[in-house]
Amino acid sequence: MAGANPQHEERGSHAPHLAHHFDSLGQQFESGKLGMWLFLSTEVLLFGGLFCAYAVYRSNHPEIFIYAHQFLDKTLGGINTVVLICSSLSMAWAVRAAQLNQQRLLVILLSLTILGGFGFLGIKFVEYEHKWKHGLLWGARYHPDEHPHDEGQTPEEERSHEEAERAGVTEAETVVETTEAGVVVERSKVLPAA
Amino acid sequence: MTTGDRTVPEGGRSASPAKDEDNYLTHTRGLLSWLTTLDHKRIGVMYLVSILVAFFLGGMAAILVRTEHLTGTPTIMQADSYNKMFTFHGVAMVFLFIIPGIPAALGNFVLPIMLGAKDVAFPRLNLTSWYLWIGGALLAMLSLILGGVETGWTFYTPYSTTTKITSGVIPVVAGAFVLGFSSIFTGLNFIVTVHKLRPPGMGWFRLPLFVWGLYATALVQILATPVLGITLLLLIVERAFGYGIFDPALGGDPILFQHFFWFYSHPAVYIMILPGMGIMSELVSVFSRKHIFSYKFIAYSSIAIAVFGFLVWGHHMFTSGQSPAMSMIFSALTFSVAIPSAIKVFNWTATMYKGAITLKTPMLYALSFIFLFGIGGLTGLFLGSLVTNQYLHDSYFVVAHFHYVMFGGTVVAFLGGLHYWWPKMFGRLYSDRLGQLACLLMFVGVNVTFFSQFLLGSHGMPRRYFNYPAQFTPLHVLSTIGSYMLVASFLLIAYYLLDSLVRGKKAPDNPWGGATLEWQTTSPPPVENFKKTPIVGDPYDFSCLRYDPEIGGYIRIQEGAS
Repeated sequence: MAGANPQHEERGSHAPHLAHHFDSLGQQFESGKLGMWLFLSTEVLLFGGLFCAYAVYRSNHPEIFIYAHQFLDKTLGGINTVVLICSSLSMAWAVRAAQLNQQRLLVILLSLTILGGFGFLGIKFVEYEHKWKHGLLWGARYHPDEHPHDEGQTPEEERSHEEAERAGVTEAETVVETTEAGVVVERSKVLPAA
Repeated sequence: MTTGDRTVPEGGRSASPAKDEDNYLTHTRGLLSWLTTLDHKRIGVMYLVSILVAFFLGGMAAILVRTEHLTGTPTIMQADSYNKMFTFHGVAMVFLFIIPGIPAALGNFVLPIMLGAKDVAFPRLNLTSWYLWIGGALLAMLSLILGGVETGWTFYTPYSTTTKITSGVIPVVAGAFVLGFSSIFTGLNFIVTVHKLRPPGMGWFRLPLFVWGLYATALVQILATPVLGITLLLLIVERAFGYGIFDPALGGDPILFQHFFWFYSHPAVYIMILPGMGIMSELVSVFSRKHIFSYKFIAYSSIAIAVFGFLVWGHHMFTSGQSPAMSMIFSALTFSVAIPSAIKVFNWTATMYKGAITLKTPMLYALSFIFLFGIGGLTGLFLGSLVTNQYLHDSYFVVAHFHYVMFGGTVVAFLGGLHYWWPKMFGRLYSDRLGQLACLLMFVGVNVTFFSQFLLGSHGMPRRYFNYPAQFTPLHVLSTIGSYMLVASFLLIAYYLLDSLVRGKKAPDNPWGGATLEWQTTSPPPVENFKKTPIVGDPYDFSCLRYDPEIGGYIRIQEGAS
């Protein structure tokens, strides 16, 4: 028989942030931390499934991915990644600042995070608006323009377009091969002819 | 409980009116106080009511399906309604009843008390998961209004992404997605609670085995359910926007859906059965008045089942065209799951050996479980071996197999647990005689309903078929008669349990002589679970408990006094 449990007495109830069912702030903090890690593990598995579907689709139809990458904007995508990582950093740092009672730093970091959030949305708006205008939509609604890069090109876009055209010869061949499977018939016609 | 002495209770304390004045049921009143409660006990009771409603609806669908099969021609419905009916039965039973059943209803109530804690680690998250359950259930019902779903509960593609007959696929799949998160949050809550809220003196090997079962279940819940979530999301996206992830006409891979689906849904089978096995360990030990045999093996075998459960999903796909090498590996791994399951069954049997067995209602359910789960588990080996699977695949043999496991296993264990903790939850005793009668009726009913389906399957009756040749009629009629017996037993159970709430005798604190902590508090427990600090000891050491005929329950005798 172990003895009675002293932690279950009402000690520590004076701490204002301590929930009634925890014995100490340390226990409460540790529980929250474990819970957050467990939640993150579920996120890994959620996206794991998504990446798995992506990998299967890509290995089944590599030509679609080679064809589609020419429509992507590397610069905006790169900036977006940096914005995301930086705002994650500023958010995590803000939590630490809150725990250490550094209010000024906390306000600065939270503002940076919010700024990053709007920056992300702004970049996405530019990217998606572009895709929408040229009919680069999902599945059944995919109706691309004949010449997707006619208007409003940035030099960056032009360059990637040229790269794609240079690579066009081999891609066109890949696509012709797979049309036998009846997959991407209409897509072959928008490929830049070499 | 006003006495300061922690081991010698006042005589007749169960009848003392002072105790009844403040417990978790009466502490606050009104519907709103329930809907906004953060008390794990009330959330457990709300879950109990909700899942029983789902069980009733799913059961009605099952009875309609069985009634339809009274003849080999249309009996009471058309083929289309029949498809919708068995789909609804499957969805309601799997996603709304069995998966949340034991953990969210009984586990929520008992787990923190077993740990001597005041609540689960995250009470708000706990309430959130109940609301998510309600949301998911409403979405599933919405699909009925929109015309129903006839894909079966497995939502296999490409049928589920292309079928035009019904428009209910998206809401029901979205409902299952939401229910998945409800399940994840419950699992997350339990893991943190077991890790962080154990009292001093309760090491991992002093946990009640029900807690081990819930812990293993929670691991599966948080590791498998997200994959189902993303799969269902992809299915919705495909159906709504015409993406070609699973539809071969658009370059997708329908087998990928089956892999994804069973990567969750096979472990989900263990989400359903592991908590039931945990209840079994409690019941067998308490009602044999004997220490559980080989505690550590039972505890580890729960974890082993959870781990093996992730590696066997391919056995649902032996006939899907996956490579023979893969099928062989999955078949071998499937056989390996039998080992930890058998360890449990042998240990329960060994626990009963030379025990002082009392055949109270919960113990009758425990004995039924061993018998029915034995049949369900062993017939799984027929399906896990490649040659017999070719013949039995998608036949009534499969239906009978998983109903023996899910009904004969999980539902029977759930009822055993419900009868075991009912006096603790509501502070009332039900009629043991009626309980025994209902259990007997159910035991016969399960065997009549589902054993006949083993015969149907091995004679070649495919599952999910609307009509059948005349040769199958006698066995189908027999199975339907069995299902009516099940209805009768459930009506009886509903009657005497509800009756006990009104007219039942007041329950003593420890009516069965359990040594786990929940029996050290009052029935029903106070809001903060314990008025005085419970004594942590071996959860299966019954030597310090003595039956007191005056209060009709067990009391703790002073250490060294006898």
